[in-house]
Amino acid sequence: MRFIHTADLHLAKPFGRFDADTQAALRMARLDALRRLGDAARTSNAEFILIAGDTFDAEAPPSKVVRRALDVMGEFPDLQWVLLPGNHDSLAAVDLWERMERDKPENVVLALTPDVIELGDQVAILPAPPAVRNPGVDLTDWMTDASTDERFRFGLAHGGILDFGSEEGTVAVIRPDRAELSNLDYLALGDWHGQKSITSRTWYSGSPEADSFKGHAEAGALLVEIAAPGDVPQVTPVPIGQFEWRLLALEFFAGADPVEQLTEALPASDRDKTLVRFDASGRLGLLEQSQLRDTCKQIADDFHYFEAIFDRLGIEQAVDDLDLIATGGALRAAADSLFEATDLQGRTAEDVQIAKIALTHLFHISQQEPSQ
Amino acid sequence: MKLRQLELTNVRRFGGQKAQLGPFGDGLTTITAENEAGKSTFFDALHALFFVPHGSSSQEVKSLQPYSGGAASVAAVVEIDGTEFRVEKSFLVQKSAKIIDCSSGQVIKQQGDAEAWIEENINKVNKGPAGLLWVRQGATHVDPEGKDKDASNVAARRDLMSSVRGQIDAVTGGRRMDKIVEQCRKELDALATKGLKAKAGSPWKAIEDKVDELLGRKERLEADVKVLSQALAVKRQAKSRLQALHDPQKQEARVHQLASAEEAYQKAQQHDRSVTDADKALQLIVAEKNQLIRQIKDITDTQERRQKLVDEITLKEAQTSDLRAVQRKSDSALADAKAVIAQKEAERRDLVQSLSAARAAEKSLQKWERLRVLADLTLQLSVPQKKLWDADVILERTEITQTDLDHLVDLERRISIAHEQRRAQFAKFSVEPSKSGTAECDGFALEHKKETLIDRPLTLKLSGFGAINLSPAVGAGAGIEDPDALEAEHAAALQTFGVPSVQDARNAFNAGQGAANDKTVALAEIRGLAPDGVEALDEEWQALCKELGHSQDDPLPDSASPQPEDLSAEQIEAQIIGLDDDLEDLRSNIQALQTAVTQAANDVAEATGVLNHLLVEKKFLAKPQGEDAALVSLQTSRDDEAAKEEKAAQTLADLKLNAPDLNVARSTHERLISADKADRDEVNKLERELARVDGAIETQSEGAVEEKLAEVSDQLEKAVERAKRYELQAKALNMLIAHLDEARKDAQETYFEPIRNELRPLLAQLHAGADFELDPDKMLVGKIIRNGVEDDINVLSGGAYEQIAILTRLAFAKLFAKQGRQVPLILDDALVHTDDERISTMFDMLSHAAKDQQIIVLSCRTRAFSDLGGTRAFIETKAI
Repeated sequence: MRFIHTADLHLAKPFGRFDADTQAALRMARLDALRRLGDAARTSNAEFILIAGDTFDAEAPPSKVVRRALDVMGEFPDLQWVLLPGNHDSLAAVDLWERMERDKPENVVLALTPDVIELGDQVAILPAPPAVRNPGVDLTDWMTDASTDERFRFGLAHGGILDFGSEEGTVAVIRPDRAELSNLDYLALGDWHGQKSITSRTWYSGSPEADSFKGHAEAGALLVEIAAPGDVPQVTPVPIGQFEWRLLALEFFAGADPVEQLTEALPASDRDKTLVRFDASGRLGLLEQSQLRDTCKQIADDFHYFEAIFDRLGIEQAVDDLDLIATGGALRAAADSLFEATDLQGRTAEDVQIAKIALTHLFHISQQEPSQ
Repeated sequence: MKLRQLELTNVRRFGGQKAQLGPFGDGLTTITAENEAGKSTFFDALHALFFVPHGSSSQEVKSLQPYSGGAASVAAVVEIDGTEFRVEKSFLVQKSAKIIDCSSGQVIKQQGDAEAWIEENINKVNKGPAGLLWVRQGATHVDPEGKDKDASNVAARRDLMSSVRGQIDAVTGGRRMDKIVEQCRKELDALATKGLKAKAGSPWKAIEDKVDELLGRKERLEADVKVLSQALAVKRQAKSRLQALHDPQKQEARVHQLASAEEAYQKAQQHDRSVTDADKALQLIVAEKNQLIRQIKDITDTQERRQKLVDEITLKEAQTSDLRAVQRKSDSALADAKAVIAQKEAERRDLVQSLSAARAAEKSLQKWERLRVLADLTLQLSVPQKKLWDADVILERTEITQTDLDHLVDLERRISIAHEQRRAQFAKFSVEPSKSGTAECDGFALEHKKETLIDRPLTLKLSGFGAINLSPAVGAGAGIEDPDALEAEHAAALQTFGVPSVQDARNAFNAGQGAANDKTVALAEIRGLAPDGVEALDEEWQALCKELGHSQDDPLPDSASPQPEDLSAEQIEAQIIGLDDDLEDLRSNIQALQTAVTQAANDVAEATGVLNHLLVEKKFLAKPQGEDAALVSLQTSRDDEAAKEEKAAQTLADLKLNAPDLNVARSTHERLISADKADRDEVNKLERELARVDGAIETQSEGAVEEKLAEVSDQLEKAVERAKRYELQAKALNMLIAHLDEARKDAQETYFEPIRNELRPLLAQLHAGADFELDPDKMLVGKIIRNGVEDDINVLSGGAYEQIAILTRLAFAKLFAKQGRQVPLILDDALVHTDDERISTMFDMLSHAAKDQQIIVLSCRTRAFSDLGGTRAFIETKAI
């Protein structure tokens, strides 16, 4: 028995922090992920696809998005798509599920009640659809007593695992030993956007298309293979995502070449499909900072999105740097006093940040106005 | 560095010539020559030598070339750290540069190396372009817009600004600093207001506006999402409820329940009607039975009453008889009491009459007594009245007052005095004529031996002798009153008062005084006897006489005493009071008696009335015929109805015992109908509600409000971050500008303080007690303060202005010298406006300064500067 386990597609997610082109590309990528899932299932001879919640990002997504999603799933009539509501598209989204029920193609199965869904002769899906965004109770409880005869017992749930947490910090209530406790062959979980194995039978598939800089593993789905009921499933990650969201948290120290450090950390290929958030920390001299900023400006367009944050990057006191502003006189005195103001001792973090900006700016302008 | 000599070859007016200027001493060197002698040419060339590369073809270099053209060469001998070097440059043609060590005569640097040597040893060392301080005529100020605005660029570079600009810049940041500050201000101005708020048109303001706009959008979208969320919740609940309402099992049960309830209700209603009918039948039987009981009771009651009436009538007749006896007794007692009262009242009337008579008698006696008193008073009054009348007679006669009397006595005294004085002052004579002889004086015969005063001219005729004229001595009698006039006055006064003499007048006066006293005493006595006046007494007298019928002429009768047997008014009054008390008691008793009489009459009337009523009733209740038979018949019928009642009551009780609860059946029936209707109403309502929320959900869903809200929230978060970054940027720029300004201010303070210290004593020699402020931008005195009055340097006279400008440079030069950087001070026709007195002072100061400072003074004022002293340098020329 083979099937694809995925979740958290978050179709129609707006990505409002980004520019319009990026927003459109990221949204389109999520819809494409559905098709890629179908392709992956076909390629791996999977019989069905379990989507463990949050197919949609909102309770009332635009009907066009719903229509497109159903169309894509309809393009794979040989596959059965089992959709479970998640916390973003819980049963509270009554209109959404009503519309889905009305418009869905035959190969789409909606798991809207905690009742056993039989797929063919061998498979029993035990869904735990959340009635509201944060149900606060373990909806998988019922699976223990559910009768499925000799079929495979595949649990399908969305939410946080006790002692592990949830993607958005909501109450985590699902027992980590639910699969074992309820005699499930596999528990397909959604909510956590990165792939994660809780037990050999309990997995978070993660989102097939990454959507944040949270540093999850490569976005994709899981191919689950199991020979017979009771066997331990074999779970294989299947890459699906188009875009890579890379958080580069680099710590710099004076003396090291920050540009080289950054360059090495950045991907060499597929930059147009990479979104980067570069968070610099540590301490660098003014010249090195200036070089680093210039480099960031130069390479930003290589990437689909590039964001550099220097808030946590301190200024390393380097006489040479200040000499580049001026070796003496009033300009140097101003630079010295500004440098003093970058010391956190007795100052607020914001005041220090302002002083850092001022000093950096002075350095920048002074380089444009070299001394005679 | 010190300048020792200058040499020009083929330069300007020295075309085809070699011109030398020098030597320049360690201290003061003066060069005096008329205008156009070529002084300035030397120093223009010197400037080119130091600052213009030998390969240059600039206008400055070209200006050195004479009209005839050719290479213009400039050389200067300078002493640096005790060693003399010759610096040579040839411009335009055969361009070259050389540095020659004067001690060895060897060329130590050429061309580019020579330029570098100049830069290193002259310009750079001195941190100024010229390494010297140069003040030219009309170029004493450094402000380009000031008095030297027409000066050429070359001249400008020679001025102090150029000389020390590099050094100032090194300290204060100079133009680089200015540019940086300007850029910061420009950036800040483009971004923020002075209060560091986002400026209109700035990107910061744009992003703040965007934040506001996004906040508004977010708020609206949140409202839309809320609407959507509520609509979804409503739909969810409505669908759930509809599902429950449409449950077939529930609906079938409801139909069955409703039918059962209706049937039960109808049965209960039917039974209820049977109970009502049975109850009504029972009520009719009971009513019939009660009617019979009432009729039986009426008959038996009449019979009993009839028997009782006989006894009551007998008793009432006896009571009536007793009451009448009591009535008669009361009437009698009342009549007796009334008689006693009538008797007492008659006695009282007699006593009242007696009292009146007694009071009249007492009043008459009192009047007679008063009449007698008045008569006595009249008698007593006659004495003082007589006195009064006598006194009035005397007073009427006497007119002499104390003044009059005093006047008469005074006249007597004056007459006597006048006579005595005349006798004393006038001569007198007397005659004793013979018997035949006569003597006459003024026609009157003189008495024998009688003295005659000669108080006027007199003619004495003596018989036989003739006449003798006598006159009083001159002045005699002066101041003496005329006794005759006084006597005439005296006599007239006596006549006026009607008295013959003064003594009589005195007597008359004394009599008047006595009468006045008597009158006063008499009047007091009269007032004592008749306080209201004698007339009042007379009137009272006459009135009493009239009242008592007494004639005034008749004597008054003696006073009469009352008879002992007569009762006094007081005694009579006591008797009347006693009678009144008795009457009051009697009247009180009679009131009680009258009440008793009334009560007795009433009792009799009442008893009689009752008795009459009883008699009438007895007559009315006379036993009719067949009464007993009728009573028996009625009692039989009553017993029949009682049996019927018992049976009907049993029937009713049986029905009630088996009756279903109609109210419960009705309530159940109504409740089920109501519930069924409520379900149908709710279904209708829910369907309408669903239709409504479906519209709302579709609207919000198609509007993608949730996605938009998430999108706007993200955008808002980013916009807020960006706005914050702009804010930090503005604050950083503000901070940067503040630090730059502060640092520059501190640097300027630090740099100029030594210059101030140098300049202060120099300026004091020209303007004692004056203070000044340095303009850091112009590096000159900007303001001068004299006697507390502050003046801008520009308002000073041309002379004072150039003096201060020179002193400022001198201060700079002294400061440089102290720092080990000797620089020459060149004054090129710098003191053209200064008067002779001041120029002398300036010469003294320059001479003093020149002890440790090379100063080169060029002037066309040969005579005036001949007193300056120092080394004299000359321009010497020779053909090439």
